Amino acid sequence: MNRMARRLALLLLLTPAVAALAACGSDDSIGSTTSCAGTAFHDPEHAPCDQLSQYALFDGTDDRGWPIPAEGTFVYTLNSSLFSDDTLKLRTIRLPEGAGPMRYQPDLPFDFPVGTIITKTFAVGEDLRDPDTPVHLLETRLLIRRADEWFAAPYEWDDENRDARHRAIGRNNISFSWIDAEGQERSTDRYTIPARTECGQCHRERRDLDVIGPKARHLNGPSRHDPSIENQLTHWAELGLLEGLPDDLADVPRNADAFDPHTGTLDERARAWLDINCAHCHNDTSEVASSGLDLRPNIDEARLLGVCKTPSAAGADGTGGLRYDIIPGDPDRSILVYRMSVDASNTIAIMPRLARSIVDEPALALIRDWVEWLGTEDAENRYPGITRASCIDR
Amino acid sequence: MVDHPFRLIRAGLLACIALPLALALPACGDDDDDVDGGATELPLNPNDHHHEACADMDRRVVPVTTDMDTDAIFQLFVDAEPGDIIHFEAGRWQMERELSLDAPCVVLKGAGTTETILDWEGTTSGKGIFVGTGADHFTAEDFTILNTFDNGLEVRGTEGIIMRRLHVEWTGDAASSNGRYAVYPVECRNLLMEHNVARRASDAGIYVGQCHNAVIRWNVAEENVSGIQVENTLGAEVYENLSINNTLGFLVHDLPNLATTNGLDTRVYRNAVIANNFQNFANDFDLAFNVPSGTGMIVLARDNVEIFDNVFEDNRSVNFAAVNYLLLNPDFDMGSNPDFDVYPRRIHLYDNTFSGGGDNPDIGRDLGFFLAAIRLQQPAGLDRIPDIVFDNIAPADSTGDNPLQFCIGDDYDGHVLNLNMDLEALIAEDIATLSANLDNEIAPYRCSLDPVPETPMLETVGPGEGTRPDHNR
Ligand code: HEC
Ligand code: HEC
Repeated sequence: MNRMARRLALLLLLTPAVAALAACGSDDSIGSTTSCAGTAFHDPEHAPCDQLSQYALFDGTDDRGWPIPAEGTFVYTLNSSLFSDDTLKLRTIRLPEGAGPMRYQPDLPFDFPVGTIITKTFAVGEDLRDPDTPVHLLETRLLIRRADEWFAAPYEWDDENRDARHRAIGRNNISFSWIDAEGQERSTDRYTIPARTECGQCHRERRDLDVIGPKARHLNGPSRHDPSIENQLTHWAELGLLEGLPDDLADVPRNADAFDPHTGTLDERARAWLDINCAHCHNDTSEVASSGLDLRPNIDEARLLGVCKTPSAAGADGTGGLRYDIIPGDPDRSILVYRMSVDASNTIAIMPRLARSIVDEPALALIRDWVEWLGTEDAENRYPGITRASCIDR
Repeated sequence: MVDHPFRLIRAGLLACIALPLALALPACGDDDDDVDGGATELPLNPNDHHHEACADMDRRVVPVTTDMDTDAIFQLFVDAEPGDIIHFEAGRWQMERELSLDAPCVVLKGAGTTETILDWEGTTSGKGIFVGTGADHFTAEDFTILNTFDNGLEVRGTEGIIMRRLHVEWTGDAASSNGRYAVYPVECRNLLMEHNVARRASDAGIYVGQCHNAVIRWNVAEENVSGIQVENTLGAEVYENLSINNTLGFLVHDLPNLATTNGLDTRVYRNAVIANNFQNFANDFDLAFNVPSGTGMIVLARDNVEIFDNVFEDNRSVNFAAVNYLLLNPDFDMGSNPDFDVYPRRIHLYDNTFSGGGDNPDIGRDLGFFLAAIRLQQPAGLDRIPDIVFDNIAPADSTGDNPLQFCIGDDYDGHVLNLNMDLEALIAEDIATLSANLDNEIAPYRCSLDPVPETPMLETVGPGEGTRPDHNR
């Protein structure tokens, strides 16, 4: 704490503009007008707190470096999740006291009471072969449910995993290295903390800023954080944190774990991966809808998924000189695969933008297999009329 | 021949862009720039159109000074409150990253295109400015954007956009690595683009795509691949623009597989389409890559276009062509894209003025090569490609001489090069068959059509009431 106080003091001395902001965090400024007061009753309409600790969502960090969820903050995990340069994630929800539970919706994100804070913390694990690897915290992103809309706030951690500081403009070109799950040394120098104005590029699936992960199909499964929880939805319903959950879980949509063949077929796993990594942009309502590619899980029309579809906007860099988003059976000539196979050195082609700088090799292998499979007779049953001949071959 | 009042405007515009950037623009950009002298304290010109939806807002003026670095400026964008006027003083900034914005009714305001210059030279990713969903009723005016890695100013998925007196340019060579679009509003509604200058975009200079209701006037496009481009848009008023020395002056077109599949209702009038003979430097997978240098205007697959009182001069491949989508993209598979109408229907041309051009088609592209071959054959004694070219490709089941209702006014006494193409031959690139059917008969096209409805300017919609374009796919 001492150290943090010193940092704060230093900042106060150095930059008058920052000092004004920091004032809401310094202990002697706690008054009736500020709610960045280190209590669990943050006023959602208040300007974002300067330090993450002021929301009292966490109680310090554990010996591996992870933030410890405070009383009232609970952790959730997703069946399949977004790739962000191999970083590890901790996702939490805090419902405001006395405001009631979150409300179930079958397909859309759950409804959350005003005052809810959802966080996602990104950390670099030293060695991903070790499930208990120490981590270096990079950033924590907050979505705060205000009366009219969600509000987004990015926080950047200090080098000692002590606290994170609000940084609305984000940061580009962050470097770090790690050992991946296969034991390979990996590194990036182009990791991005998005700016607040960039969150909406992904978080405006239906125009208003919204959450992406908290949908029934992503949450309907065991918790990976707490193995004692066999199904997160029923667990929360029992605790009174979730209302409206259908009695029979068979009526609740469920996405596969993209990398666990026990949880679904190749098609189901590929579609689950495309859903959580791409569909928040590639649907029919976002600002990207004009490209006409729709990767939501309920889409069965092959052309909307990119089959024999020529791209709308991308130039040569964006297509790799290829003609169609997907040619069934031919991953090497499918733009969708190509755009997953480039790293941040091709800023025009890389998909998704803003989320990664390196290639997600396991996902690339999965989607390649899927495109390969799309050329089989088996795929005809799932996607009628999908044949290789339907793309003019040139 | 009528001497259009627009000839005068054109002369003025030409004088401006013929000079190098630093000297040229005061005369163009600055005449209505005496903004601070008016009755209002806001640095907005009361003579300009503004978003009515923002009229009653409390507005802050947020100054941007030359001592600010990219992060400090970006902080102002990120912290912008609805209605903020982010006011750049005169000066030149070296920008280090894409700036994005998501608050409604924000104005980005400079001190004039020669005074306020934002230069992204050296960046290796990103657009210049990105305005996303949430930033409805956006205005950008009176500044210059240079050398962005990707598009200069991109506006995506918003309601109400004004871009005026902007200058967007790549100051280096005309290279395919230049950003693709200078100004790129896409999937939006109610747009006004006026008095902008775009130069050396590797796709289109002045672009609008997948929008409803666009007014595009008084812009100048020079040395872009495509000068002025209106793509998959419902309702566009395109007038008194100058497109000079681009590869292609104007492109009014529809592309398949977009959410707004088939554009409609475009009026193109009093534009000058002059000597668009610049080399084609597009990326080879852009549609624009397939356009021969020296093309004045192409209407591609678009329906309901009224084209009148324009001046076409000296476009070496062809002054005007209305063609099927397959002519620029022969690999397109109609079978798997049944919703997309590849035919240009109900195109009405009258009272345009043509001179020069068609005398030296660019053989580096299929369409130009084909035109050059025709010119050499000189069917019916033509020594140049006629000012109006029509492919006359109609659906197999159509009847009559003019099933697509391609109409040319009585005022036109030149030839029409009627390609009479058949799709099979086109797909097979069978030049012999293709050129066997040529004729220059104008009689079937002497007709007129009901006027295309005018597109209203910036229809008023309250903040937050914006609706997205219909997705009529
Ligand atoms: C490249 C797209 C992308 C950008 C940009 C992005 N996010 Fe997200 N975010 C996602 C996806 C996808 C999820 C859900 C999947 C997951 O959690 O792995 C998510 C999840 C979250 C969550 C957990 C709740 C939820 O919605 O699932 C928070 C909080 C969050 N993001 C905050 C932010 C903030 C704040 C920003 C801007 C600083 C931001 N995000 C920028 C894609 C993005
Ligand atoms: C932050 C929003 C965003 C996310 C997330 C995203 N994309 Fe895109 N994508 C775009 C935009 C914008 C375009 C259109 C411009 C272009 O082609 O670069 C696009 C275009 C494409 C295209 C060309 C589509 C066409 O037919 O025009 C493909 C293929 C594609 N994306 C694949 C993906 C895949 C695969 C993912 C997930 C791994 C993904 N995208 C995630 C924004 C996104």
